[in-house]
Amino acid sequence: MTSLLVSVEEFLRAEGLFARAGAERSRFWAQVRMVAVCGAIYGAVMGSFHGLEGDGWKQIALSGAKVPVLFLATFALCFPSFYVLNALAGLRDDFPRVVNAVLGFQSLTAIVLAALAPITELMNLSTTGYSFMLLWSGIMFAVATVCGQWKMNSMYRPLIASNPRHRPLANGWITLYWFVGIQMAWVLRPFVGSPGLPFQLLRPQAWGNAYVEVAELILRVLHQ
Amino acid sequence: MNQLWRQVDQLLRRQESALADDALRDVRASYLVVGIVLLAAVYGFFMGWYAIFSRAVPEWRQVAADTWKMPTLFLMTLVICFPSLYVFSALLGSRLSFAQMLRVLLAIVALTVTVLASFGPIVGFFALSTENHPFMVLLNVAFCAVAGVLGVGVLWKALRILLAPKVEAAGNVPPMIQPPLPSQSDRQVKSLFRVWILIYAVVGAQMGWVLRPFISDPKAPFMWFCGKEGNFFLGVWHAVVSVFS
Repeated sequence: MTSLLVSVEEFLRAEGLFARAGAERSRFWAQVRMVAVCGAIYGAVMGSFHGLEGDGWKQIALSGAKVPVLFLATFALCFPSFYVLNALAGLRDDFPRVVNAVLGFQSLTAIVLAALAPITELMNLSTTGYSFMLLWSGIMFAVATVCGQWKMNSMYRPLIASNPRHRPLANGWITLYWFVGIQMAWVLRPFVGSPGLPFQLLRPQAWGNAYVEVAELILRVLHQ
Repeated sequence: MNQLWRQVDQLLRRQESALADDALRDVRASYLVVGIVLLAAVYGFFMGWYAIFSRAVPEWRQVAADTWKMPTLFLMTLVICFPSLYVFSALLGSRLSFAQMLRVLLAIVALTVTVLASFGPIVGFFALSTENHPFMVLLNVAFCAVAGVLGVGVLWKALRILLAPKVEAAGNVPPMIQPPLPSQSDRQVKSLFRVWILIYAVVGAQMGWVLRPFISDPKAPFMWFCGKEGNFFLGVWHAVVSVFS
């Protein structure tokens, strides 16, 4: 636990482990740990909206597991194609540092979310509105994502300075990550748990496609 | 006890310079917490007077409620905000350590509640002589606003001194003495300050909403809490909508 806090501190301030040359591998595992623990903290808080009555603890545990899965599974899915693209661009030697930079996005997003978790818990305890809590978590994710993007940019900056070809690849990663991440979040619903519905692992219609759903929604609106 | 008052007195008289690096080490966090509890309780005590004098049957429970609600409001807000304040401060490149930040924030809150407690007797006097409920609410809001603005002002100066020492001040210092913290640009300090104020204000507002009522309507029966309903932001939103409808 202490070592986790130390690595969070060093990550935020970009010093210690995160300033040392040639420590890419231990940086990678430190980042994965940060994403897993911090993401789980926010997920558990998000799932605690209905309290502990009845099946409440199930939703807490499940949401706590879903947020790290959302981050890490999206990363794992995008990883192979990103590796191939980097190798094609002749940037294979920089790849360990590139991985640190792109994982910086998830790490920081998860840390900011965990830091905002007490505030979300206060809202959970004092609000009855399910839609308000959905909106609230949406805003928290937006804030955390903006911070994550900013961190990734700053970790990518020295790489881009050494080779400008890193710039289109960084943009490509972000496009790919969002494209997969949105679908992943759609599949993993629900995170908060609608009060009208019974506890469920995933929504029964989970394997739909977020983009097709949105397109159908737009078509339905236009045909009215 | 003596130590405690000396600490508060130091804060009042030397304000931000009492918070500058060297002096900060003398600030004792535990004393400040005790000071915050006592001073906030003093203000809460006077706040509760209204429930005694405005009702046919004095409502002593409101005095008890306000006396513990005010310290809870300030300390819980700080506890809930602290992780986010810390992460954003580290992220924006501030060199404040965990302990330093805790002391600065506790000192600012202590300063705010000192100002608030000094308004206590005035609130008590008005409670004695006023019947009008909205007036009492507005009076308390005004006093809290004054105390808050003063506290925020000192926070701003303290952050500037801690994080972005003036360049010309360095001229008087022998060159061997390094500044204790690498200095930051004014812009960085400003954005840190803004983020802190935003987070603290949002949490403080909601915390106040949770702990309602502080000044109960004399026509309504006494209650410890208003129950779980809505939140500060929806409350403001409904108030705005009802103005236009």
